[in-house]
Amino acid sequence: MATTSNAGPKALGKLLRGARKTLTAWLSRPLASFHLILAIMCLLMVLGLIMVLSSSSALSVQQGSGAYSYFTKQAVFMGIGLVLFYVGLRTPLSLIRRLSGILIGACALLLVFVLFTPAVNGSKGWIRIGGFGVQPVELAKLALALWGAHVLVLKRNLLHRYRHLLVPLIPVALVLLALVALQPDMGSAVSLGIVLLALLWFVGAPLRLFGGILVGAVAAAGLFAFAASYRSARVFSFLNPGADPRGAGLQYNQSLQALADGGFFGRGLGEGASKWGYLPNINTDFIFALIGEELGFLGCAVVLGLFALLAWTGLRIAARNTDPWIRLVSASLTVWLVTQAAINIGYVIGLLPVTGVTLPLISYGGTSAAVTLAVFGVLANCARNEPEAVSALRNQGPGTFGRLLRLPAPEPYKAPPSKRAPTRPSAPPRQAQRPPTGPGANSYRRAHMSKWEPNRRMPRDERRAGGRR
Amino acid sequence: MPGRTRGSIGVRKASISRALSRADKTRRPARIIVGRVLLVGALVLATVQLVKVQAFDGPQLASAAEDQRITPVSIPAKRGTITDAQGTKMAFSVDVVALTARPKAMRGTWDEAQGKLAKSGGKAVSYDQHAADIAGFLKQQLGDQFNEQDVLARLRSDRTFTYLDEKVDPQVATKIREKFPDIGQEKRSMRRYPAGSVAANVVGMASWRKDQKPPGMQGLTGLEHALNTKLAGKDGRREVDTGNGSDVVIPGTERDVRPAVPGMDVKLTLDEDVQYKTQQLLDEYRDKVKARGGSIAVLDVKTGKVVALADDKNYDPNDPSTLNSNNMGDPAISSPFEPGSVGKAITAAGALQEGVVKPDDVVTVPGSVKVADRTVHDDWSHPTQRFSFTGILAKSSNVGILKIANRLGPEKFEQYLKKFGIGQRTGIELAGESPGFLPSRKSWSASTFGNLPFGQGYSMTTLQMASAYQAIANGGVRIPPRIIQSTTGPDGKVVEHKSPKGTRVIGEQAAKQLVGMLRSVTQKAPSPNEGTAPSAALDGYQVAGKTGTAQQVDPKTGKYSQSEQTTTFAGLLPADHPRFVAAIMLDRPTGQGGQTAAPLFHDLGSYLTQRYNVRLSDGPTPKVKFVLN
Repeated sequence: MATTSNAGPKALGKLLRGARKTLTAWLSRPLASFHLILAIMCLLMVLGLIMVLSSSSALSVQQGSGAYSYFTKQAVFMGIGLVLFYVGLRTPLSLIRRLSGILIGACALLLVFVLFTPAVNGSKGWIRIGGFGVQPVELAKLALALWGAHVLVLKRNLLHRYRHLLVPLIPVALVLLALVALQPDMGSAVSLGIVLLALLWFVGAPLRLFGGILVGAVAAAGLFAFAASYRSARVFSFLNPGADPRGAGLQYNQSLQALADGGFFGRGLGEGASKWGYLPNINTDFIFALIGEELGFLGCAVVLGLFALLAWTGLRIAARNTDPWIRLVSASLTVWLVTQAAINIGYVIGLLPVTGVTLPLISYGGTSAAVTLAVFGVLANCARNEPEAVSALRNQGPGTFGRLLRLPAPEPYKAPPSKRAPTRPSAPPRQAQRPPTGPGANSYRRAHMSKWEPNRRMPRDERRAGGRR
Repeated sequence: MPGRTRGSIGVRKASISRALSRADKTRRPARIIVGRVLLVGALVLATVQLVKVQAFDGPQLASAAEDQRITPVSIPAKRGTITDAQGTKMAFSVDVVALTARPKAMRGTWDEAQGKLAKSGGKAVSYDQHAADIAGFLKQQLGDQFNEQDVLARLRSDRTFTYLDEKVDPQVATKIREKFPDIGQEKRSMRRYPAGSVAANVVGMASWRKDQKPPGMQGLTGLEHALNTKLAGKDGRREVDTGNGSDVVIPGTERDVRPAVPGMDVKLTLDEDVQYKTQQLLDEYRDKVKARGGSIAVLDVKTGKVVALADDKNYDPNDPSTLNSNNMGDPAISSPFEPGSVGKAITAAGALQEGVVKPDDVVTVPGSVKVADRTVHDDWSHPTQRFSFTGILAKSSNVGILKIANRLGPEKFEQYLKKFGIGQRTGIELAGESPGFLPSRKSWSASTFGNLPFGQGYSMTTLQMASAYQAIANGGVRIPPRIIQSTTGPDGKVVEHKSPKGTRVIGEQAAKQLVGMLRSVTQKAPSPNEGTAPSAALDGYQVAGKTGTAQQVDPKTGKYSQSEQTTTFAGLLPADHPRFVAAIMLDRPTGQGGQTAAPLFHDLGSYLTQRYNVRLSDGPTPKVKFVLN
């Protein structure tokens, strides 16, 4: 007996050590991040489609449009999203970066345009194309991340001045926020804010700035919340959910009941009762409650685990890349998606007031799903631009997946050529050389490269990359 | 601003560049690590909260969730079937569907949907056209009896709810509702009575009551009413989860809390064919002799079981509109009447049993006799004659039977009346049985004993009359009549309903003597030796019986009417081996018992002997002399 009881832990320890070794080995493969992103995306996408079908079938039938109407729409958008994913993956990142200005400009115009469309459910955020509605705000979030990163990296060496750190990023972001607030769409405003904060955080903005932003954001959120009665009702019902369980506290209470009903293993896929009219918006904002009800704690844990893995992988991509724009973009996009998930899950489980932030790739919502897939495309692209991955792809071939998708090998990162000694401490002329903003920034930069390139300090990574050359 | 801030900008510049350089120092800068910790930390926090919600607060929240979804549903129990002794179904239930519509809401929904269709380029159909389509399809499915125009008008009207048809076959209903999903349904059951009015007075009628809670089948008359709870069984209880604010059942949530217990099946002692024939003969004779009404009870001699129990006024239980206060009862058990001379058999039975007289004894019978303040005549005028005891019964002499009764004495006579069941309910399973009326010995006046021995002054039902003669036919043992043969419980177990233990009323010898005497009633011979009911005689069989013609009490004067009579005949056959006993009552016919009720007995006996292949009697009834001088 003694030997067996000793042998147990020993064998387990051996197994664990073996597993860890295998895991470390797998993670050290050059394309590990890329494959992780693909896996996370596929799992979330499949789970999302299943849950959209489960959550909306009852609703669809009650509306008399057939059990699959919501599911079909979502699937079509997922298909479009997969095309966008491929575009995001295939397009060279440098091109994406160059187009980011045009993208954000176009998004701003569309956001102005939607304000003149008829309101749907009290919100003007939709452009109707055929039978499908598209929300430009979703694309604007991605555009803000791409363009914001571009501007910040461009002004990399001027960021020690608040003016360069904040302008033009903050004004543009505020314009977008204002346009979104006019729709109004509080959930998207929150998402845009997250993207902005993530950009500032990862570019290294001073902590006191975040302190200031925090105070401002709380004030703004308060104003925003109490400007509309339904939002203040949400806040009050969050603070005292038992006060009106059939009115303002309805979603809070029904959501917790649905989760509790699921228990550990859930009632079984499709067996959820909340979707039969008990929990409003169950196919969009509260789909996580249905996951909890039908798939139980296990299902919830899988979703939480996938988003945690996304956080880990996305920031790993950021850490392993050398191109500062890629680093900033991948980190910001990751934070955007994961924070949005955390906020959504947070209010579903009763930790936050209801904000209408959706659960990426799982909530019903075509544009959101499609754009999220595009984001995954960009993230995957970034993963393929990790130096180890670039080296492997260039030296050992594109690999199965790359061959299948006819993906070209990524170009290695070239630090911008320095014409002067990198360490020379000279301040640029302050007033005259205002850094460029907007779509024309690249051409401006190319034209005036020599004027302000000397000011940049070459980071270590770039020096090393440059050294290899 | 510039002057004051210049220096501080310099400080900040230094701190920012320090931060930036720190961030760039390694491939895992602090901001990325912090970001990772914050993101994963938020998700871990969510996991902790999930454990709280799904595990610790779980049961309480989950029960709250369940409470709001549960809707109890009643599972209707299947109502029991009623059959006759041969197992022929007399009453059974079938499932039907009542098709419902909500015209007002249907119009709204239809117009909205068609509006959408028109917008997206489809061809819209007006609601009125839709209503016409529905009515047309219903007509096609439900046949000629369906009133298409009426239903169409209701569908196009502004009412909130209407029944389109309340008795639709479930399969047809499914077909209709597949084609027109906006038509609703109510599941019901319907009672079918294949034999229509045959035994309707016994079986009764049940109909669907939508106004009761829960809606269900309710027995209104007859056994359907008397045995309602047993026939109905017990509705089960099912719980389903329904959607919020609707009665949409969430698929897969049905669970039976309590199964339905089907109702009891009832097998009657009746023979449907005999019942039919009896009713038919009754109707025929009622019309022939212009009676106001009548009833017949046919019993099996050996068991006392009711073979037929007929009333002349009937309804068709398939059609509730035929039911009215005149025909809904069962007068054969509920309406007592003064039997008249039929009751002389009881007096004779007592006298024979007590030995105060023998069948062949000769009694001097004057034309009339004075009892207290009244004078009793015979039905026909005659001088003082010497009658045999048999002759007194066969000719139905009131004066003669009073002489015999005097030999018996009022105390003994009253005992025999009671032993024959007069004034007591037989205890048959039907509702509303009357005990009849027998004045208590204490209340007898001086003239009472001058009335009772020939069947006036007390009353009995047709069934009681049959039961009394059953005792005579059965060697003196009276077995109270019963009409339920057996019941089958929900477990499928058959419970035979045994008849109550018989009680000996008179000895076997006296019974045999009495039957022998009663045979002479049907004797056909030249006057004065002809019985009162030769028309009851049946070729090949010895028939025993007794006629009766009783004066009815005129409700206006409270005295016996000279014109309104009840005619009766109670008989048994074959007299040598009695098998059936029948009691016939006709209300206010033209003619006496011998001319009205007796021929009916003949026809009925003729049918019974053929139907049951009754063995012929050993010989014809021996002729006897009634008057001896």
